[in-house]
Amino acid sequence: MSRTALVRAGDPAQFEQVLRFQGYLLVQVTPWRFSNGTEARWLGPDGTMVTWTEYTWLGRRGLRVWVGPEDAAMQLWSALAEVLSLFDGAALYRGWQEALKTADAAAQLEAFLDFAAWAAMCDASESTTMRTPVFQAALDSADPVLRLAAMRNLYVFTPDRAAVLLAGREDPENPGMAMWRQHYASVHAGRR
Amino acid sequence: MSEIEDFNVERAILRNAPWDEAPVDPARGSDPLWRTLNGARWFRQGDLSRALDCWLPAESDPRNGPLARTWAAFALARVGRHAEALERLTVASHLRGELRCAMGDVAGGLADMRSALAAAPLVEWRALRLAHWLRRVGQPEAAGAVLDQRLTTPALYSVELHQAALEAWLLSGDPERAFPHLLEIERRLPGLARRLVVGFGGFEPAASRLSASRRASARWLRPSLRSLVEDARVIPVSSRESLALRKLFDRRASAPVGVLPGPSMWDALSDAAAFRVFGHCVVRAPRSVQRDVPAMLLFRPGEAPDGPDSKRRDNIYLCFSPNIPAFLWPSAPATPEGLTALLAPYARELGGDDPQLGDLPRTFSLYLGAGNNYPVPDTRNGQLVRLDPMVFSRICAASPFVELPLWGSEHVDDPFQGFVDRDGRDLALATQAHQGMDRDRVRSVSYRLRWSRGIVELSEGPVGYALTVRYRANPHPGSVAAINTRFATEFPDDLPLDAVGVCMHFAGALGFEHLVASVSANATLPAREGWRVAGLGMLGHAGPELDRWLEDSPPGLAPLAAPVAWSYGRLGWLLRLAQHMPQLRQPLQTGPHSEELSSGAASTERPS
Repeated sequence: MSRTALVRAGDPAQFEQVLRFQGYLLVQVTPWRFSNGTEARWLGPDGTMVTWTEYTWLGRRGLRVWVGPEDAAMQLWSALAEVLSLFDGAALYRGWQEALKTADAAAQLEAFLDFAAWAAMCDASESTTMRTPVFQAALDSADPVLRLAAMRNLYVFTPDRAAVLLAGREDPENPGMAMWRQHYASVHAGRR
Repeated sequence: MSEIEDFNVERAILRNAPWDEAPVDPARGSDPLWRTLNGARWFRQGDLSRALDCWLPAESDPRNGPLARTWAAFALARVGRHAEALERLTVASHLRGELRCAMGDVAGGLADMRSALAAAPLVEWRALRLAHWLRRVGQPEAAGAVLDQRLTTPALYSVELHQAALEAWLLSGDPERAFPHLLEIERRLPGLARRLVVGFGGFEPAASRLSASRRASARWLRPSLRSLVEDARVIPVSSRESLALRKLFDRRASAPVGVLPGPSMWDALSDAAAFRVFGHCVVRAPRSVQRDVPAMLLFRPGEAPDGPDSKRRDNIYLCFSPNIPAFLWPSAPATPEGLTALLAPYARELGGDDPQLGDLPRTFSLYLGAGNNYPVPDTRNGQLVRLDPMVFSRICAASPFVELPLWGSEHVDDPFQGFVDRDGRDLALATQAHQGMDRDRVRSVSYRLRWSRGIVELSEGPVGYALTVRYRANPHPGSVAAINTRFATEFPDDLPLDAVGVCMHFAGALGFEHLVASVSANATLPAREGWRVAGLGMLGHAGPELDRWLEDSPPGLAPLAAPVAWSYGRLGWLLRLAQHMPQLRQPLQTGPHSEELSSGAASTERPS
């Protein structure tokens, strides 16, 4: 079980300070990659694993509290929420829905990128119910850039799910869609 | 060396204890994995009692227990609790062999060690430790045979192997078989060969000559230095030898091959002529077939006034290669403690001398520019040439600061750990095999720093190159600050001296903060200055620094920032830009870095 949040504001040094104060050990820092940025993993005295992700692909950073006794994980979460501005999936989903009510394309794109980055960082089970409506709405948007953003971030789904979401869609303003549709369909077919 | 050794176990513990990370009170945690890793950190600090406080309770854990048990056995062996250590080792291993020998079960212990050696016959420390125990239990002839067998294949620590074989054969009363080893040592380290024969009956004449030679060689030194050459780590040189060695440093103001300091340092190249060698010492061996030469210990005549009442002490200096300028020699007071501070960081580590990337926690990066923006001096003649990977390879191949094996970005970490270059061809073949690039990472070539064991990487960007050094703190505090003061340079104070030796080649290269400052003052930049934006992208792409700069950059810089964001896969920022720059939408259909699409199907052409 894990809980993931997007970190909108806050100093990573404060995050580190909280963890060190609670006896966490830095156990791994993964080298930067184009596709998923870089991650620092921390292990707590009770076995709670915390991951700090610099998801440079979408210019976001996230925090994931991984395993361990739930009460300890919740205590840590509260301590981190005091020094960092944390947004979990539900909050981001609400933000996305609020943005859809406005005609502000820039705000919609930001809300979508926040949610997509969170979905990429978290466990699939955390976002199952929210991911499909968000991406579907983005693919149905009138803004070609938002549709493009949705199309480019479909990797958060399994290939078969991504293929279903793209099936039957035509987008003259985003000619790459045909290529991605074919890509996901062929990956899905290859896996069957 | 401790009574009980197993470098594999020790290395495994240390690799789980990052260099700069402090341990936590063992009482604070209950999780077995946390305990296991925290214990490794206490072990790194040398506090075996607290390491055991962490490991012993973790032994019953089904998942981490086996690891905690082995590590606890090693720590228990180190603190002399042999019986407790042995009961934790149920399977034959080198460690169990040493423990059984120490507890009197010689036959069983030697059998364990022999089977461990048979499983990995090239591991030098296993041969050395087996020979050590064979000698200890009164079988020096068998020890000599083990070492002779190992020496049929080239070795990284051949001096240690020859030395152990020499002693084993002398002990077994067979000077005929010892003599070839003495010759081999003499070929590499003449002073050491002279010293090693003291006290062995078969070599009495040599021993008496050595004693005389040592007394003679110390007489020309001042008292403070004379006491140092008695130290077992110092191989003394005579006054005549010292005078002969001066010619190594008589280079006036010309730079040696592979060493090209910035202009402010040119006058200092002749500094070395003011020093005199008073001893040699053995330092870590290179992984390549490069000659394993001893380092030199020097003093500066006239630095301290003569006389026993003088409160000022001499300093001593350590020079790894005559090609290294004197201002990069580490120094310490001429005392036994100073000698230890000088030599300990460069002692040979039989268990492996290649810290992993995670164990090199500090980073220093420079943007080197490209083409005519940033020409660098060629190693062959000092003429300014365009920097490219080939020029950088030439710099590294000739440099006394860098070790030869290189690897490409397909390897996250050094793939040459434990590598032994048998004849030069191994190195060529292995280097060729490890030059691949990972398409999900920036193209780069990396080298190991020869003395501090850091890693230096040249990475390729859209415009030019970046040099990144990953390192542990310089063990000689103040040494780099003195260089910065003298030459008006800005190297970090904790940067190791060999890293300074590489970076000084690129005088005037800019760091991230300098590049940001030079760009941020302008709302727009002419295209010819675009390299500044490319440079800060190269240095800041692996963290949030580039994202922060992209967020805050003036709109006028967007045409220069977009290619950088593209190069480092900043899709989020590019999508935002695409709302105002429709021409970006076409390239963003598949780029940047759509590796999942089959090659050829997708266009990843960079936006103009």
